[in-house]
Amino acid sequence: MAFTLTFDRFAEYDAGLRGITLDVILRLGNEEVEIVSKIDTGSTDCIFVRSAAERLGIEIESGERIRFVTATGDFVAFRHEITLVVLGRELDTAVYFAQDTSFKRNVLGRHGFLDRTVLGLVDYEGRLYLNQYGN
Amino acid sequence: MSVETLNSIKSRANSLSPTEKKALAAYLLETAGDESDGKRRSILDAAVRRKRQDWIKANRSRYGGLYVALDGDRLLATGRSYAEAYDAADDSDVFVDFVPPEDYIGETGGWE
Repeated sequence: MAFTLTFDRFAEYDAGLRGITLDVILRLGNEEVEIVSKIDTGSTDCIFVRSAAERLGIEIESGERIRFVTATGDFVAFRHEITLVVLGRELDTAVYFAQDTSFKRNVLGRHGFLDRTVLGLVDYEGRLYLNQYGN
Repeated sequence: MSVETLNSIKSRANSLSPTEKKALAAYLLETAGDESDGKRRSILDAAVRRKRQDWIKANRSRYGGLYVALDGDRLLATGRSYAEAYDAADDSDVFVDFVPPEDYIGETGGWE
């Protein structure tokens, strides 16, 4: 049985890098930050470094405080609403910014990105296809 | 733009490959804009964001674990998934997001 999915965005990524890596834009008002992020289906949420929020003019600790656990420890992040631009697609969504400046990862996880996205992945060829569900 | 110019662009677009045509179509859609742009922009207006943030803070115990569709601090719909809440809201420009339960602990990978 064959299945067909339709996508309106496509990107080639460097399969030689660790993780599926994309340049994304975080936008709030007139401020925006371009940032290298990894798609992480094992991450419950989208999480970004503190400096990205600061460049957007966000007062980080004013957001909802959430604890995140990893395989090796835990950290605190705060929820904020922004526009996330992935392959030209704009998603008005909530993401988390890490409190600690030592947190150096940027991940596109389930809540806020994967939950509203149709994602096609051909890692063998470093190709990623995307379509958006809703706004 | 004149009709001649538009027809010329269409004619030239016919020589593109199917992949190139799709890329062009995506570009045109992205840059065209429409009447909903103003409403979309207002979704992230600072005052509206503040209303939503306060609503979510006040309603984590009741709606935690669900997706909610909000118009400012007005609840339009809920769902167990983004799709459920979005479809139930019946408004293409509504803000839909997951409400973290009060005892929510997020998870993420361990790579650097």
